[in-house]
Amino acid sequence: MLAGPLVFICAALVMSGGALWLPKGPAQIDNIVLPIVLFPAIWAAFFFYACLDRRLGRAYAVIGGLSLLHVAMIAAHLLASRTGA
Amino acid sequence: MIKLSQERTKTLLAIHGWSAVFLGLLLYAVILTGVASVFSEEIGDWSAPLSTDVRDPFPAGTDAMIRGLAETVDPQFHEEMFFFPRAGDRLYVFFHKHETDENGKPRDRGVAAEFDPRTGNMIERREGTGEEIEAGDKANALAHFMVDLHVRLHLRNPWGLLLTGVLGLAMLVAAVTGFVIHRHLIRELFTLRRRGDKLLTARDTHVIAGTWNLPFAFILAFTGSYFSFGGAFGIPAMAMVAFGGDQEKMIETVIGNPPAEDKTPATMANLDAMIADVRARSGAELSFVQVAHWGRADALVTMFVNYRDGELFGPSYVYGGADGQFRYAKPNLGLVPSAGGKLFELMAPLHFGNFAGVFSKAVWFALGFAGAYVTITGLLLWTQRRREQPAWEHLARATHWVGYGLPLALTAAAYGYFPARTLGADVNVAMMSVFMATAAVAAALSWRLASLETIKRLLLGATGIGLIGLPLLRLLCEGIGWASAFTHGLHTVLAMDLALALGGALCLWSLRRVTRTAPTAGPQDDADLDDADEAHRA
Amino acid sequence: MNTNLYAALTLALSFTPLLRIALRDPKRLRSLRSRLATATPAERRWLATLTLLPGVALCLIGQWPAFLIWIGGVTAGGWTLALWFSRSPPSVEASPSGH
Repeated sequence: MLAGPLVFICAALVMSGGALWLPKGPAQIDNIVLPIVLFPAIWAAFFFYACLDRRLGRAYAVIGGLSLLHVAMIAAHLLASRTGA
Repeated sequence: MIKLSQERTKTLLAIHGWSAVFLGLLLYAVILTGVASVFSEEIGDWSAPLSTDVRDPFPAGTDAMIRGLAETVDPQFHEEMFFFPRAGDRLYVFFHKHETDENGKPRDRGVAAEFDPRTGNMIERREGTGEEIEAGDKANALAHFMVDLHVRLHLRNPWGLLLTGVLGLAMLVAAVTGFVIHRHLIRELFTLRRRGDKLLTARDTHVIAGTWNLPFAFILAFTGSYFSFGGAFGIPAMAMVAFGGDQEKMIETVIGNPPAEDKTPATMANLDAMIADVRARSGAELSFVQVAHWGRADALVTMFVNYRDGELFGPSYVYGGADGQFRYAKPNLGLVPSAGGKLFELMAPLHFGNFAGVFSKAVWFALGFAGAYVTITGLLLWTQRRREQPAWEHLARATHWVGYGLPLALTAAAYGYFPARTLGADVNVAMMSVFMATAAVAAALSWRLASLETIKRLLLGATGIGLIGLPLLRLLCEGIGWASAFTHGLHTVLAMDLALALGGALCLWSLRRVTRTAPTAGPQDDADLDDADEAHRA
Repeated sequence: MNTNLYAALTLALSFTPLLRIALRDPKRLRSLRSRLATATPAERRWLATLTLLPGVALCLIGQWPAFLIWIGGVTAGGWTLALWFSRSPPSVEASPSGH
């Protein structure tokens, strides 16, 4: 059940990182607005997955993997924008 | 309904129960105050009406009121301003600038004023940060008390918002797990067994209310946790990733009005003309006006209108502030329609139920009430099931305390508000003190009295009497009389008085039923008990 | 107000079959030990379809606000019916001490 706070952090990371890979849409805002609005859904999906996966190890791996992937994307983006500026 | 292995159903039932045990009472508090907040506008109009009905909250002369105020305001606060009708249709105007507090969090500082739209006279003027100005608001204070409790349980931000956001997620989980673990969802839609075993009745009461309320529990929980998290960390986190931490810039980008800077001083065009234009152009009621860069060549006026009949989306209208010319209509977010913008706009009507006047609000009120009912009956079911174990006794008492004590304490807050306002005391302090004192007395009763039934009867009875007494208290505290309210078109005042009295009567009436049916509760029926347990555990 | 008119009309249309479902609900009547004839599954399905039809109609003509009021009204109203019938069974021969 450690999945609680961990899943929350993961959902937050996916939300923030989502800004970087979601299509911007016609008004150039979808990538920012959609993850914020859908945050509860992202969290709920991860939460139920984490609770119901029979193999705890796999659940940790999936949640952890997603988190790391997004951390890496955010870090790369921030570094790039810093060097670019 | 949904085939699940026994092990998974057990996990889900455990999640359903334990999340309720830890968060259920707080969730109930949020839902109950949310139910009151559905009518927050009406609470404002009822508790602090002007002496007659306001025909037009944005009358000709609005421009003069705002222009006059602008001249007396330090130009640094001309950065942004908005105005809209508030409690009793007072026109509320707030000139402000954006700054960051000691912790780097954005906040507003400026000058706010309330006008009487019938005469154009200023009623009150306050200066300070957004929060300070809000705290000094007397007309809207009672409604604000309910809303603030609902939005953040009166805790400091961001903690209050984070907590209510988590509660929203818990409600989401409860709705989903409740849906999945209940096997006879449709078949038992009308099965509420009141005879015989109490546990079975408790189970039926919870399940029936939960089933009927399921779609809306889901919607309200989802939109609610979005509102909490969006403000508390969604926007800051997103700004950090995509805009280098600049929340202002992000909001500007998302809203989509291009910030073409031109600081040349310019006289503002006539707002009255723009108001007339937007009314003709939109065919809808104006609700909110925002002006960026008052008194500059790049001033931009954005007008928001109420939902048009049959619509859940509607554009806002943008005018040049200096020339008064209509520039373009746009969605609330972005300059052209988009999926994100649509979804964002949908959140408010789905959560507030304010899209079709009193009718939709009444339905949302009923749905919220059902949600509160589901929460409390669920906790009662949990404690009833474990009534042999003394450790759960405290949860049973706490459930009675919050379940029946909170409505009483909320009613009591109004008993703090009216006298304090009449006496010129701080209404917020008065409401909070009376609220807390009532909660403390209710707590003492809940743990001192032996019988849970007596606690319920006492608290519910007091709430009923309190609600019935509210119209009288309002009248005693310099409120408008019924005849005068009727002749001056203040229908909200009359309707609210009536609704409160009816609500109070309903509380008392439900007690009468308790006395009548209590003795008929028969001995346990083993077959039914098994049925209930099986259905709940399976 | 068109929205309110649509909502009121569809709610009235939905409540008629819903009331009938509630009145003849098999499990409810069985739990009350009533001897009234209960609805057959086919009849229940038929009535349920009738209840939901006005909502579908609102979707089809794109009256979304009215649809929201309708679905909220049906759920809140259905719950009220369930509560109401559990306390005062109309013309039902219930035997409180029948077990």
